[in-house]
Amino acid sequence: MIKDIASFKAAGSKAVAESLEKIKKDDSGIFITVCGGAESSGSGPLAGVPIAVSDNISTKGIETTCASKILKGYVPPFSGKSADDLEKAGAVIVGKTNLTEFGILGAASAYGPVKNPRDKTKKGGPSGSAAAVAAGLVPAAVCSDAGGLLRVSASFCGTAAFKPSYGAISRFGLIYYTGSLDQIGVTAATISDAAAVADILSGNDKRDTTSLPEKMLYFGGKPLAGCKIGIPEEFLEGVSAGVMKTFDEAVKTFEKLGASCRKISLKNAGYMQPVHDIIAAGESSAMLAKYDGTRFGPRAEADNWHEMIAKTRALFGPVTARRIMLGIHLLMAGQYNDYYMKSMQTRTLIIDEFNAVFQDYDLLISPTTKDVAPDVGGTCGGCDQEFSAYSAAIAGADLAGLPAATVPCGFVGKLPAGLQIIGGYLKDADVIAAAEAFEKETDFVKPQEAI
Amino acid sequence: MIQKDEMKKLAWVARIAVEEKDIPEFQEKINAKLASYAAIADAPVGGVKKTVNPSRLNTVLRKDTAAPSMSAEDALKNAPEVYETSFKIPKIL
Amino acid sequence: MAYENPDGVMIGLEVHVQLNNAATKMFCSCTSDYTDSEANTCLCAGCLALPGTTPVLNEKSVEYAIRIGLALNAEIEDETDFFMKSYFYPDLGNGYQVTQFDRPIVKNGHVLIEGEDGELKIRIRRAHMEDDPGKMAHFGTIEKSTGSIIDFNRSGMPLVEIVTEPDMRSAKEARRFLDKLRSILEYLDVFDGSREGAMKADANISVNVFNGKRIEGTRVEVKNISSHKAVEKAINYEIMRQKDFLRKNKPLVQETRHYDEDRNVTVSLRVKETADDYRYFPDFDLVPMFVGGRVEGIRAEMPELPDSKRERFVSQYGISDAHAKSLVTERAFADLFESVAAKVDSKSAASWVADIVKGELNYRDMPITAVSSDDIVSIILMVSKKEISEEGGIAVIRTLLDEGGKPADIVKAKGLAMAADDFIAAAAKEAVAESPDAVADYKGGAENALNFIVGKVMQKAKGKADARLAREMVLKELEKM
Repeated sequence: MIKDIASFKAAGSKAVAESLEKIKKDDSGIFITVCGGAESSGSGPLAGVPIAVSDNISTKGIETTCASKILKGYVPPFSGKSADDLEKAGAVIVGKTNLTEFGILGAASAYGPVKNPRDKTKKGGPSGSAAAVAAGLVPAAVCSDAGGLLRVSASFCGTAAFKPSYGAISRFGLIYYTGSLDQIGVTAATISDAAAVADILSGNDKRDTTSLPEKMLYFGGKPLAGCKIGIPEEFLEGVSAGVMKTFDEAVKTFEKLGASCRKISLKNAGYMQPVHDIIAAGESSAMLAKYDGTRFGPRAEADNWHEMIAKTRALFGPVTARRIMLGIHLLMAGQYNDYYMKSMQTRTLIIDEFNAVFQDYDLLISPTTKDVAPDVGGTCGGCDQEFSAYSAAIAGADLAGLPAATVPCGFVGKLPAGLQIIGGYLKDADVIAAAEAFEKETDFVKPQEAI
Repeated sequence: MIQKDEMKKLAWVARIAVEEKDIPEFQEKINAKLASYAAIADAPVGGVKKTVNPSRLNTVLRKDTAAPSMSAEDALKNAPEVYETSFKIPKIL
Repeated sequence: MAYENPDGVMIGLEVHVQLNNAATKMFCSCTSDYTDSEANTCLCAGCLALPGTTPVLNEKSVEYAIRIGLALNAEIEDETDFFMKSYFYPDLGNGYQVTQFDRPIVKNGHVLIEGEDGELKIRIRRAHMEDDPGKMAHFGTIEKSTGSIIDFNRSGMPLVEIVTEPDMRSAKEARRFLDKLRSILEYLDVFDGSREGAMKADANISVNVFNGKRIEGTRVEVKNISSHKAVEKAINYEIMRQKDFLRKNKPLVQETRHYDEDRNVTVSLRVKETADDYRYFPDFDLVPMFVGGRVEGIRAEMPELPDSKRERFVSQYGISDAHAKSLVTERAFADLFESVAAKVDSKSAASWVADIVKGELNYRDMPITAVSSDDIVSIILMVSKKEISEEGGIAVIRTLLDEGGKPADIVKAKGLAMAADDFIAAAAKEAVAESPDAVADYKGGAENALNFIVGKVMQKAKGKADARLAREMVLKELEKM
């Protein structure tokens, strides 16, 4: 039973009421919508546990905005598979967390930035999900991850997060902007908690073509003793001295636990970021075409339909708007072969190289982000380059659909640093096992830590 | 690189109204992105198959069995404008 | 004699076929049977393109596409996939259509039709799967409307688009191709052609000879041809328009024109502000499809198609090729013929089903389900046993269609039963006895006189006699004299 795990022990109507109370008082921009008072039903493994869900996951009867003005007032007539699964397991969805518009890194949320619970002058990351856990508002939060939406947030806030292999958790009801890179994951105080919730969300869903036929197993992974760990040196480029220090310590911890760590080179690493960017831009241009003020959402006034949709679509923030236009440009006949086609082919090279590396290594580790959380008002608030500015280590797992975890691995000042662990395709349990062993050996994780 | 008129055209193709004063910034930032993609120019992709989705699955098909539809009420609930049970829009031309 | 194609007309067709015999739509489990439903009641979040829906391909639509490919004598691509085709239009909720691009499931096939000068092979370039958008209606005409409304019931219906090479040389050949295609599709059981929007065609038309000289024609696409009757008219109008432009030395533009069925003209669609760039790219929500393994199973289950059925009818039943051709056009008639032919002489079966039943049904615009093979069998048997005359048989069918009932009851009620042979023999004897002058004239070589006596027999039988039989009986009586 999940409730045996420390952080889920606070369950029942009292725990839910407390969580809601704290969420209502929050002034860090963590939540967009508070879902008041839904009583827990049944006696599932998450009975009475308050949980947060990212506002890009559809919730029936509850406004779902993706933090965009273009979805203001949109109330889905259906719930995403993961929201349904949480409720079936007895969890109470207490609120919808903030995110950069549609989860696009660098875009601005229509609801303002998420502040870091550890230092409110710093960013809490592109998603409010990790901040919700770090601030002790909920024991776990569900959020998708393309480009690090979840992992970067967890790294900045000092929580554990896990993005499973592509296809492990159904995307039905997830309002993704880049379907081939996005995958739902979970953040919690510890990786075990995150994996326990991921376990509840996993399993085949006939409504999602990419849903894996077999339920993913997260437990019983390979022990660290004897494990071969690779450290892609390209993922260390641009990492700050402070974060590098925490990472060097982490490497020592893995060695102490019996793993052997060796630096490796991924010759396609330099392509990961631009390929991710190009694919995400192209996919966004199609995925964000449905927002036209015709069937749902706000509508601008104009005397003909084409003018109306252009004015309505001006509700997208500028970064999102540019992402769409860039995607359209890249997909046009004149550019398609040089950019989009080439990116899809390079993606194959990247996947093939990962496959080859995982013949020799069990896991790859690196800092999750180059640096700790930046200032809230910093230059990257609503800029187009935020994704690449944060990390060189994020794109690879998205492109290849690999399982990736981030766990806290130390502090730079009072701000946490994150360690990313990537596993081979479908080797989710190995990633979880390594992260758990690391957590047990270190004391950076303090469940439900009061901040 | 995208020129100014191309930028305006692109905004229209995207059906996103951009104010004239914002066009230069859009152009500059999109061009900056495009410039950064020079990084893939030398990728050795000759004869390499494309990857569209990281899923290793193929031929995922559904049985041809009908499920109940959504109610008209649910379908129209979020509509900005409705006429009887249809979505109403301004004239098309 | 070879067809000369004096204007060098080249016609290619793109035919959209709705696979409405599948129970569900292409990418969701919504019913495909929305014809009689209120707007926006046969749909789901996916049909409406609400945020957060994911497509899953219907197995049936793939199977149907393969069936079509095999029937078109085409190659089936082993590995195939879907692309997104992007453009903004109110009935296209997602802002893109899911279609196929460089790897259509079907390619390089052909269909044989009866051309202007005998059998003509129409090459099929490709056939690909795609989904149908919703349906828009305007308040007033499209040019002067104050607004439009959209119904998404049709959104997501599975389609196959069949693209021919420009192998047709006249409007008649184009219509014959469509007739043949429709017949094949009905045999395949993939669609019900009677449902609205089941089949639509766009035609690419060019005139390539002017003043007897070969010229580089201009390809014009005519869209929105929705009925078979319209095809011929639309194409003929467009050929005439192009010839007229050539004669007047007016420039022809490569463009898309819309066929207005009410006015019987093609009109230019307003020139778009930006050139069409649909930004085709692979649909990342779906995974590759390997269908090669399914082909043989589907081939084994393929129904007999019109061409081979026609050959079999001629050889197996000994009926004429004209009858066979007429019977196989619609599978239901072919089936009706076979069940009738199982019980009566096959030539009679062919002529009754192909000439009479089909004609009477068409005249009334009634479906074939209005008659049963048992009824036709009993009518044919009554005629062959001379219980009723052939005219009587036709009358029975007409009554059956107009008023209903069973053949035997109709014969009784309408008094169509023919008089018995001995009654006619007796009547003939009487008639001869009562007509000494006519008998004398006949003996004197006046053949006409015979008709007078036969007429008398028919009078006595109150018309319920077979005229030929009456004549025979009269001749017999005369010989005795």
